[in-house]
Amino acid sequence: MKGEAAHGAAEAAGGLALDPMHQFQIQRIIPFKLGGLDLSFTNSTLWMFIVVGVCAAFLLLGGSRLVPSRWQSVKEMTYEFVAGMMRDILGDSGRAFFPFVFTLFMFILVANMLGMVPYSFTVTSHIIVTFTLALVVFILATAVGFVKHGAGYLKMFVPSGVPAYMLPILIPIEVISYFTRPISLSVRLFANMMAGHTMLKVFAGFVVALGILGGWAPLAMMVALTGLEILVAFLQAYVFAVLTVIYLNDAINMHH
Amino acid sequence: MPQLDFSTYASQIFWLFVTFGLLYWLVVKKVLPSVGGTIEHRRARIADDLDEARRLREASEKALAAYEDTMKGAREKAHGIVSEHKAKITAELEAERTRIEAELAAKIAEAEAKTREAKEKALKELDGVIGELAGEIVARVTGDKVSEADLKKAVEKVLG
Amino acid sequence: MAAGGNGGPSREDLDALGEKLAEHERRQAGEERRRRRRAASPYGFGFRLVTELVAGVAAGFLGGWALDRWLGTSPWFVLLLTPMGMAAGILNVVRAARSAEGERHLDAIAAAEEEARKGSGKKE
Repeated sequence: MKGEAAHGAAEAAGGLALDPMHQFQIQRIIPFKLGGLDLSFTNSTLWMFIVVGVCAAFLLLGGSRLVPSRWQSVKEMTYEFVAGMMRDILGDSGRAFFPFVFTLFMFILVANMLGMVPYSFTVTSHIIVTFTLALVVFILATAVGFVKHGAGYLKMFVPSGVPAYMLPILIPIEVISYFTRPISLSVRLFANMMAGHTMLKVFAGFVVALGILGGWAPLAMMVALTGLEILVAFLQAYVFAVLTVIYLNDAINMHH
Repeated sequence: MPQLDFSTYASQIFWLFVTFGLLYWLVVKKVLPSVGGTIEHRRARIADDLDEARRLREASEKALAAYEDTMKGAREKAHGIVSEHKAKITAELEAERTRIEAELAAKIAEAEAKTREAKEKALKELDGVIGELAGEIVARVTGDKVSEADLKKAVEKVLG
Repeated sequence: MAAGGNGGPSREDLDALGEKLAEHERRQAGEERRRRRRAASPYGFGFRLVTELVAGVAAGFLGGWALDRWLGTSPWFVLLLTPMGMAAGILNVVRAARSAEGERHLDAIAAAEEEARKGSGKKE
């Protein structure tokens, strides 16, 4: 509600000055409540569906011939990229998790990339979205650990090779360290997306404010930043997927 | 910061689960069979082809080695036969040559003997002719008749 | 001694095929190594370290706050767990740095192998 008010104020201040935070605004498209929970269909929801649609189009079109077309090559490269990364870290023991990791990677990658399109909405620039994803990963990895090792998974929190009197301090630290995983995972993705996109919007604001005469410098800057942002969008999706696989590996093979 | 507007959280979490679940379902049901299947199929095909190439290469290697072995054997055998024949022919030639040489030598010796004989006979006849000729010459020059015995003695004395 | 010439496989053909097969195997091994060698960008790595620290403090604080609320012991768990969270963050940073060190180590090995392979290739 506060955000909406701020948005309104920014618009009142004059349509020209772009509020860099405006792009993160959630707007209800179809209000909808269920048992006191506001589950409205919002612009964020719309873009989540667009992300799924783009992923599906990318992954399902383009054919599946023995000798691949160019599109099919890119598609298969993406697939192999994730599969190879998983093989390197997890070996063959983690094949069951490939669909999950691949979905995660594609969803985040496409969401990050679509965020570069002007007037779009970046799903992953909201901490609650990245945190939910990270929490799913965290719960999944923890569950896998307990299913695989039973109560023995708790040994994960007992550092080896330290004197017993240090354990009362070290075990809580290890536990907290374990619980930082979803936080660092989600904050990293969210902060990268938000910072990059805010910066782009700020420069876009400069371009508009300085007009044709002075707008070239920030425009050049914007082009350079966009290149960097594409890299960051990819890198963050990759990092998220890699860390997910590392956490799964820790759970399956039990080492930190 | 719109990100801290808690009133939007329920909606975002809910729809995130819906859309992520949808994408997960699509990946499992559609993408894995098509993309993963194609890649697996291709990889198996390439691996098969490579194995086949490797196998064929080894087979040809073996065949080539066998071929070279056979060739080497044949060459040695041919070489043996040739040298054997060569030796035989050389020996035959040698024998023929000696035979012919011996024959020639015999013929030459015979011819020489005949010549010598003829020469001696001729010389002997020449003695008589010379004596007669000398008697004739003496008779014409001196008018004397020289006895045959004297003539013979004189000729023998001159000829020696 | 060349045995070909009559349309059959020659020694050269076979050697060329063998060379191709070996080349394929080498390329595959190289790809495997290269994939293992993908290193993070320094920018991303620095950012990762910062987030680890912040996340450690945040996790300690949040855990302490939750425990205090549950057990009614405010502010003791927050006071106890926030420094521990900081320690956990530092621990995570050290681990991340160490794993990066390990990656660089792998890099060096892979580079050395590459170098050795090139050297032996030249000698051939």
